[in-house]
Amino acid sequence: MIDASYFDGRSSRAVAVQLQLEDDALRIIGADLLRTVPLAQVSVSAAPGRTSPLRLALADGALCEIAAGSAAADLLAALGRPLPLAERLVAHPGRLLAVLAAFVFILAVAYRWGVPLAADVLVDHLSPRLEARLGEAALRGLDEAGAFQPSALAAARQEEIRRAMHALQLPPGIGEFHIEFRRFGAPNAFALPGGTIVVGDELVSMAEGNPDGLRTVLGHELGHVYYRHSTRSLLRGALLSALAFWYLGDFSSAAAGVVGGVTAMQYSRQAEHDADLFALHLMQANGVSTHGAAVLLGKLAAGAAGEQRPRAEGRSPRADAPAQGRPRMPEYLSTHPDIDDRIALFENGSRAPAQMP
Amino acid sequence: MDEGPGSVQPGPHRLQFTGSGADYFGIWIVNLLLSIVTLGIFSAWAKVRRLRYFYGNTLLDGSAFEFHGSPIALLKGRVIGVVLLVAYSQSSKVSVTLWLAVVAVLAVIFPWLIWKSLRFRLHNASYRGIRFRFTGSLRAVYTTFLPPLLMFVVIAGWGLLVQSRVQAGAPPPPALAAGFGLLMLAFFVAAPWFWVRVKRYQHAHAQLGSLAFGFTAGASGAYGIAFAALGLVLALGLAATALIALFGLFGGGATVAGTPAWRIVVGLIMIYAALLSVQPLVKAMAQNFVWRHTTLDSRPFGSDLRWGRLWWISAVNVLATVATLGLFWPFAVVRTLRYQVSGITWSGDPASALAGPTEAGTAAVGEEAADLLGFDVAL
Repeated sequence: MIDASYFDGRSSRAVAVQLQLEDDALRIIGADLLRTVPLAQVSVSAAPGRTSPLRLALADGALCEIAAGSAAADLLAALGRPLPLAERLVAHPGRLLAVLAAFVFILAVAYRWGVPLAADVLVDHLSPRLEARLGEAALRGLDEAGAFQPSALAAARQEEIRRAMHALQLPPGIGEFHIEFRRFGAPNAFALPGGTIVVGDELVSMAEGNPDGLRTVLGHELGHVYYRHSTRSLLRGALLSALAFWYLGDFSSAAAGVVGGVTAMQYSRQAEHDADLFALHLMQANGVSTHGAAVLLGKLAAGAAGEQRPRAEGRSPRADAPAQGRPRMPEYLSTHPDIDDRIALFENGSRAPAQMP
Repeated sequence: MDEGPGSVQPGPHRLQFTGSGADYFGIWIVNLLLSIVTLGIFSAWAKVRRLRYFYGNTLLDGSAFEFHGSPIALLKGRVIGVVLLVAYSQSSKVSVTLWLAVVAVLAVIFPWLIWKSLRFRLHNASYRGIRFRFTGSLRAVYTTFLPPLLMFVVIAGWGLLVQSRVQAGAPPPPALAAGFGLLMLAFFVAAPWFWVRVKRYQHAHAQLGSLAFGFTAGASGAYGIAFAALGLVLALGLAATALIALFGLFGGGATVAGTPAWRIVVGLIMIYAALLSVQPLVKAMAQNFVWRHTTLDSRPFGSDLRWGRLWWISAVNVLATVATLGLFWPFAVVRTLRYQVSGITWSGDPASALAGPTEAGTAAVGEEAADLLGFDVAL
């Protein structure tokens, strides 16, 4: 016999009753009330968790409400209704821990493999026009933020470099690309989504008298364009943001955004290596020696060695901000690690043919 | 304290929240796990579980509320939502006219979606077997939501216009910029008034069986909240400036792009503190304002949230959630909800509701309330 409140479904007036469970029926006994309802017509409605009242809904709209507690739990067990899967998963502390561990594991797998895979699938379905617009917007944003100055390079020189790159025999599927020049304050070049390659004046002047080297380095950027690395890492960042938002979203969109933003626009080492191999193969297919690239990279390494050694690690902070207070462009080396390996690659490649990755 | 279900107490009834953080943690973690494993499909079920937990642990006079919404309905609503989103994003690639057409269609159906979702929420809620109902008309949802929507569209359009006229690096034309500024100002001035109209639409057109809700507020209370929030932000801004000036006496330290690092750090901390402090203030004042002006069966509700207490709850929530990398979140939700729910009282008689004519005699609601498209736009 269990205490309960009975509501007839027509008004919210409560009648104190007692419930008795018989073989196939539920007996409801109150002061002016006696009902026997076949169990088949009783539906158990309980919110998940253990603290909410238990409700037995009857076919005619009436309701029995039993306060949460051991009596309700016993009744539920006696009624023989199985818990839904979602609740069985956490019914015991041990299972709860297992669920927690599974959750953390899946989150880790999603971060490490799921997101890159999804990014790769998505990038194949992204329209080139959208990518181009992304790249243009990024360049505009960087220009407006004052990340670099307009180029001081003569227009003729710029055209010369552009013509040289467009004259190369390129693999099909590379799509459109165009080269922009800026003054970075340090030798550097990078590729934005949609085929925009940004080259620093300083890199051009460092490659003076070394057109092969310049072309190879720009060929490396073309590799990024060909494999759409920028777009991939952008997508990865966005997916990570979505993942973080999934987990943290109710809590703080800012926190979720930070997670995604931190990983955006970061080339993976594999991407860098693939771009190097692309450049190597491209130069060989066009009969350009990559010895010049080895020399150029050697100059970059030497230039960096003259400043701080840790730069070669590729993870040093930019502690010496320019006096103007503008954001500083990352050093070429900090975004292109393993400089010695790369010098060796181009040096050896100038002697033997390479495979296209 | 209530003696037990069904007893009629003198004095107002206070809502109770009986949920616990530990309990909700189990629900939350399973929701997350299964949602990821099913690539989001389970999220409709997850939402229903969550709502059933919150409703089922909210008690009035010892009886709990119940949420009846079907996950399938929610899922269908979400699919429609995704379709709309895709239509919106893809149309911009085809042509500007198509995009504008899609935007216009979306703007027109948005109030309808809100109406659908209000009906879904209320028609799928019940108390002691009596269903809630939403009786707001479609016409009223348009008169309530179109003015702010239109204003928003005009501002967005004006903003785009200004952006298109801007030469790279040059400042925008003064007339256009001034116009934009005025529009934004007008929007902020009108925002509390818009908000009160939305709340009135929600609260004045709800029913619990035979009992009708009412809403008695004017817009002035909402402006009080806005001024309080502004005042707090200003006060915190002044405090931040004073702090920075004070620390300026000590000087030194590393620099980031020319600005002293500590100044940036203090600035960020103050901004975050301001946001975290203003939110509980607005939440508490808003709940008190809305519920003190809501009636059911002509008997008023009460709400006695205190900003200080809510701020403290929020502060602990934030710190603990960050410290536990998010795992404290379900506990945080329950703590806040418990305080908010238990602040509400009602001076009416919980035993006085009568079922509407369509409800008596049916356990399952089969009328128009069983929306096949279960839109649920959180307001």
